Amino acid sequence: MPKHSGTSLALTVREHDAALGGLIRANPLAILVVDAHDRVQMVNPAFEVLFGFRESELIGHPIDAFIVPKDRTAEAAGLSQRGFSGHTARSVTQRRRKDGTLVDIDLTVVPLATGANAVGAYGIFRDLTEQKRAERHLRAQYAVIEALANSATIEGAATWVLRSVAEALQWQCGVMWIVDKTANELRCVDCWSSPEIDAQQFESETRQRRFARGVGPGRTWEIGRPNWISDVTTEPAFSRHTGAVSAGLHAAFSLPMVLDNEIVGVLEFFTRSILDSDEQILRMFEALGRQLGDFVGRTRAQEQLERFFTMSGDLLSIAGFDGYFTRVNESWHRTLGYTTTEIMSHPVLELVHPDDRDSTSTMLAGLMRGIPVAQFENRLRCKDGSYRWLSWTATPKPDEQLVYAVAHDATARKLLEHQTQETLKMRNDFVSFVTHQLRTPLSGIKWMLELASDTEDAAEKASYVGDARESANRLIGLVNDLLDASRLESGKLQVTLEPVDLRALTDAVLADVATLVREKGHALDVESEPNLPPALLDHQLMRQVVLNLVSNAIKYTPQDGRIKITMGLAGGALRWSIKDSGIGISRDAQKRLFEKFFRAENAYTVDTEGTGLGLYLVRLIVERLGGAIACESEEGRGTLFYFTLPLAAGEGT
Amino acid sequence: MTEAKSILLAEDDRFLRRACETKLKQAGFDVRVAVDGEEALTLARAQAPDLLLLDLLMPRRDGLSVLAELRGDPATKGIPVVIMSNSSKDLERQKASTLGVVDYWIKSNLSLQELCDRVSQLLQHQK
Repeated sequence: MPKHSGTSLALTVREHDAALGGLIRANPLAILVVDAHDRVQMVNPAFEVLFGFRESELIGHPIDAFIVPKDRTAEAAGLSQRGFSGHTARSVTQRRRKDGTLVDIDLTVVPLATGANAVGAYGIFRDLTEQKRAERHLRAQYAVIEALANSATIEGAATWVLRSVAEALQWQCGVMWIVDKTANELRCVDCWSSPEIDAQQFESETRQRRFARGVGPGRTWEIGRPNWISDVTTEPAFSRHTGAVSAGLHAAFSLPMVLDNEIVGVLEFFTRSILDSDEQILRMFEALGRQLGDFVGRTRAQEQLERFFTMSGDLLSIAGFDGYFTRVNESWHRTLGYTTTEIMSHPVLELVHPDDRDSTSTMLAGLMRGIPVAQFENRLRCKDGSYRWLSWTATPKPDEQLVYAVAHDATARKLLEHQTQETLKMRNDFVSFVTHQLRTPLSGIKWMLELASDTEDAAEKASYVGDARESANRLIGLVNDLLDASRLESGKLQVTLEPVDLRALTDAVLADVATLVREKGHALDVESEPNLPPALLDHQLMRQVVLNLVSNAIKYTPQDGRIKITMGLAGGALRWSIKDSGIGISRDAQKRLFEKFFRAENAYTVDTEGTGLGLYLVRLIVERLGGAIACESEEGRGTLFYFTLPLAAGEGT
Repeated sequence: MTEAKSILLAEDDRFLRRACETKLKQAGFDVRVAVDGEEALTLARAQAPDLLLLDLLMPRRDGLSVLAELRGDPATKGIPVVIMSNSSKDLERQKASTLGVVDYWIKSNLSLQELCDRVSQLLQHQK
């Protein structure tokens, strides 16, 4: 194999290139020409730019010594050898620049032949830096997307995001800051550093820090744009100086995390090199800032929904088409008493009141056919066995096989509705009853007067008028009783309390009814303890009580009966009782005796004109005066009524 | 003149009973009176009247129960009945109408003369 001197070959190559119109010199690819001993014969300007060597530095020297990294010498020798033996060879590899940094290249070695003899080789270098960088950035993007997809919170995604980005950039440290709206400052979410550096001090300095708007990473928060520092160790405004120096960090850039137009956080990255602002990096990661901002927004919206779900007073739930709840909020526990697990481990229908199961099944079947429920009410069993009314709104999602349901506790409303209905019914009953009771004496008056005016007979006329008057009196008595009852019920009746001698009051009443007693031939006894102390009472009302009870005893005791009134002290109170040998009161009737308008069935046989207000008023008055009334009776044998009243102050035993 | 039409008056209020009885007798009707539901039933069974004027709220047996008993017995089933009550409850009206009554009168809204005229009119139409 003929040997050419370097110089002559170099000359030959140059002449050759010139003849081809500067194909090598003007080529944008970096091109190197070596002789068969790997000595540099020529490099083009693109080579000078890529590797940082002047052609004059290299001419005549073996190229390996300049651009081949130590761990790639064998590979480089192999490539040259193939060129020298007349073959074209290619490799995607790395070479070293003059400044020591590595550069990714696509290297093609082409034989340089004169005649049939290979006298050297061309090395053609394509710079892969951009391509590699783009690949790394793409990988970083994927890694970030993956991290966000697998995290519920930005905190959970932070480490992966920082690491992915830093590794893609081949930078060594990353920090994530979140805007704390309450404190109006940046708070460190996470700090990641490569194992290649000792960033312990920098990390701990960073994690403890809070930055106000406009300070440190807060500058990026303020301006809303990425920010670049070529060397933090020479930047006077950089406050984590000591840590950065000890970790060997120099260049830094930060970018805002943007949600709509709001900055929700800031990312910071650091590297060991001193680097000027790299527009390409900044542009590349602008999208990342928006991506992270959106994620924060999404998780924030999620948290807000979660908060509503938890705090809602309504019973929120998601149920499967299989009839089991898959999710329920806290209100279920608060309302029904079950734990969340207990609720979810039973089919919904099991909790439904047996009477509501059919309607609930129908409603559920509708939901499964995709029909939403706007208004449905049923009762659900609580843990304590009681039932609560729930008012439902539900929307089915057949594609998810799920039902989203909101239930409102309607128990109170249902109770109120029921009470209102009862009250209305009672009012209607009352009005009907009172109407009837008023119409009867009114008819009596009207008809008796009609008869009186139709007759010329004076005695007959007088008799009709007498009956009309009696009917009128009954009407007045009824109206007065109704008014008294209404006033006592509402507590509006004026009560004048004064010391009352109950014995004297009773005697006065008995004097008024003496004729009646005589007519029926009753034997009437009154017995009282001597020197009975006075009670603090309303005289008028008390008289009404005694008169009512005495009248009843006279009325409901058949001819020639026995009536006995007893007065005395019992347990520090006055006790007044009246016992008769009358028709008595059935056990059932005794229970309702003091109710408004109640009349015992056997009372009708004696007197059909009663209003059912007498004993009701007696009870209201006695209770109003601070006492109590009761009754003991056996049907056909007689009745005992007794009431107790508090003594006047200072009269106690 | 044919035989006087017979009326059974069931009314527990003594004033109303007296007034009605007097007026109807003055008009020439044959009037029997019952003071409660049981008596009304007994008297109606003993001899079916041409017209029963029946109060509703009465002791021992109320008017509706009397009406139901009468309607359940072939012997008394056909007795024409007019309810005379001071109650305006729809439910009672409905029940009475279901059991079959000629009319339903509110006593306080009628004068004795009107009452008498109505009774005459009803009985005239009876063949």
